[in-house]
Amino acid sequence: MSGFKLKKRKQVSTGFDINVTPMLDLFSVLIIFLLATSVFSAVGETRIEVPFLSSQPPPKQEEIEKKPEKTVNITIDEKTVKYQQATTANSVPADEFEVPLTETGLDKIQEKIYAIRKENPAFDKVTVFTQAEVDYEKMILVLDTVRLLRAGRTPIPYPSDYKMPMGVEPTDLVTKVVLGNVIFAD
Amino acid sequence: MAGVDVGGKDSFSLNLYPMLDVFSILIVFLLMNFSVSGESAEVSANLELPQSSVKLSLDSAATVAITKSDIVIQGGLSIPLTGDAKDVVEIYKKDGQGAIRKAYDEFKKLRAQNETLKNRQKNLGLTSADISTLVMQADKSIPYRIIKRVLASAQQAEFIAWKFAVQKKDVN
Repeated sequence: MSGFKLKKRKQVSTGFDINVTPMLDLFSVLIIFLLATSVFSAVGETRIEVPFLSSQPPPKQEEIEKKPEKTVNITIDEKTVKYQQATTANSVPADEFEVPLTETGLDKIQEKIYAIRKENPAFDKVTVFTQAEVDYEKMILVLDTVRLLRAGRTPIPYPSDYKMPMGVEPTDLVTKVVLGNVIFAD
Repeated sequence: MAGVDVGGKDSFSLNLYPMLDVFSILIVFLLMNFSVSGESAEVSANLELPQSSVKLSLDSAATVAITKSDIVIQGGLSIPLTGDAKDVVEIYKKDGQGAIRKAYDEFKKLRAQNETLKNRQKNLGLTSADISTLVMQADKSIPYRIIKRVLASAQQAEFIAWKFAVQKKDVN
C-alpha cells in the first residue's frame, strides 16, 4: 500500500471571526422561555352523549319492521363487560356474550362492532350502560374500545352522505357513544 | 484542563458551532410545537385523570370537575362529597331522576349564560359556540354512581353532549 502522508492543513486566518457567544446566550434564554411557557396538550377528550327527550315523533312501527337496524348495548360491570346485539324491530338479543374486563376481552367486543361496521358502514351508535360501582377509569377503558380502532384494524370509511358529528375523528370505529343509564337513577 | 500550549501561553478554544446547531434545531422544534399547542387545560391538583388513547386535544367548554372531595362546577359552586367518596350525593337522592338540585340550578344558570353568549355571537355575525356541551374532569377512582348524578343534573338543564377529559397515553 502506498503510504499516504496526511498533510496537516494550514489554518488560514481570514481575519474575520464571528463571536457566537452572545448568540448562544440569546438562544439559551429563548429555549428556557419556550420550554417554560409552551403548552404540550397532554389532556385529551373523548366525546359521549346522554339520552334526551326529543319532541320529534318516534318512527312508525311498520317503518322499523321494514328496515330494522342493528343495535349494540354494552354493559360494564366491575370485572366483566357484557355485549348485546339486537335490532330496532326486536329487542331480544340476537348475539350476547360476556367477557372479562381485560384487553383480550375488550378486543373481542371491538371485533364484533368492527364486523357490524364492515357489514353496514353507516352503523355509528353504541349505547353503554355502566354499573354504579364501576370506576371512571374502567369506563374510559371501555369507551376507548368502543370508539377507537385498535392497531391492525383498518378504518372503515363512512358513506359519503354521512353527516359526521363534531369532535370525532373520521377514523373512529363509531361516532356516537351514548351513556344509557343516566336518568331514572337508582 | 484541556489546553494547548502555544509558545508557553495557555490557549483554550471551544468549538461552539455544533452547540449552536443543536440550539437552532431545538428552537425550531419548540416554536413549531408552541404554535400548535391546544387549549390550556387546567386540571385540579387533587385530580388524577384516567389514561386514554385518544388523539383529540381538549377543546374549551364549561367545566365540571369531580375530585375525591367535591364536585366543582365551572370553578365556582362546590358540592362536597361524603367522607369516603363512595356514597356521595346520596343525600341528594330524593331529587328528581337522580339529579343533584344544587348542581341542576347551577347548570341552568350556565345554560342561560351560554344562550346569551350565543345570541350575542349571532348578532355580531360570529360562528356561535356549541352551547350544549360540557367538559368533565373526573378523578379516575370516582365511581359511576357519582358521575351519573352529575350527568343527570346537567342533562335536565339541557346539556346533552359531554367531553370527558383524559390523560393522553402517548404524551407520557
